[in-house]
Amino acid sequence: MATNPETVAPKKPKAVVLGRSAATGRVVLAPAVTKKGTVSVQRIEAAVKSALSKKK
Amino acid sequence: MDDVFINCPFDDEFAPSFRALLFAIMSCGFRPRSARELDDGGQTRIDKIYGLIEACRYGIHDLSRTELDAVNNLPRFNMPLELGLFLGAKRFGNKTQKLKRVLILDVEQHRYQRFISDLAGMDIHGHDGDPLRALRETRDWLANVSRRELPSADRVQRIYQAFLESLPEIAATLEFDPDRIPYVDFERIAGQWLISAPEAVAD
Repeated sequence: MATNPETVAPKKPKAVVLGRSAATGRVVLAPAVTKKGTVSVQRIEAAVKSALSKKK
Repeated sequence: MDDVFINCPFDDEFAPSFRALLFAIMSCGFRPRSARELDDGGQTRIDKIYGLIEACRYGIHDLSRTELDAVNNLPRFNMPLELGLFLGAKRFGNKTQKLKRVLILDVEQHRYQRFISDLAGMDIHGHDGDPLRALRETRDWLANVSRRELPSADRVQRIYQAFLESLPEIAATLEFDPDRIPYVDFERIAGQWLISAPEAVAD
């Protein structure tokens, strides 16, 4: 596609597999976000695991 | 090949449907892309949107906001503009661009005939403003156009409802208002939840 020659098209972020979902049977792809998250991936992982462990 | 461009309103009223679309795409093994992922620096916004459209084989375009807004008494034209760009890329682009597939959503299936009748004959689905209908339409369309074996719409819906049950606690732990989680964080939370949830989460 034609874009403004004064600018550079954003690089296509390569799809990275986060893992496979047991619930769906499908792989889960990492987000292609170019912005930084406001919390760390480690904190998200801990919060998700904690919430899921209480559901058991 | 697995990127899905979401062209939809970003207002608070549409946020539950936007989240449902994101989750449906992620749970079916695809990667959502939207203007929300773009940072504010560098290129003009339209150039960034060209880049996103070019990168996505699939496009979901929601025309729900074809109405006059309460503040300016004008309609929002970004969604029809980006739909037009996507269709133009599919029509006039190279071999890869011609493989693009388009789903058009609106609150009513046939309302488009009154404001954008040139779309006649295209795949337009109504969701009545219901996030779960938008989620199911998305799953069914992705299964159809990708020809991949995907979890059923019932299963994706149950998994999403289980995710929504977990979300307030996750948000509280991360000190977010559950209704106002930033886009980049919401996507990461959904991805992490999907790979951490057990198979029986939706049973």
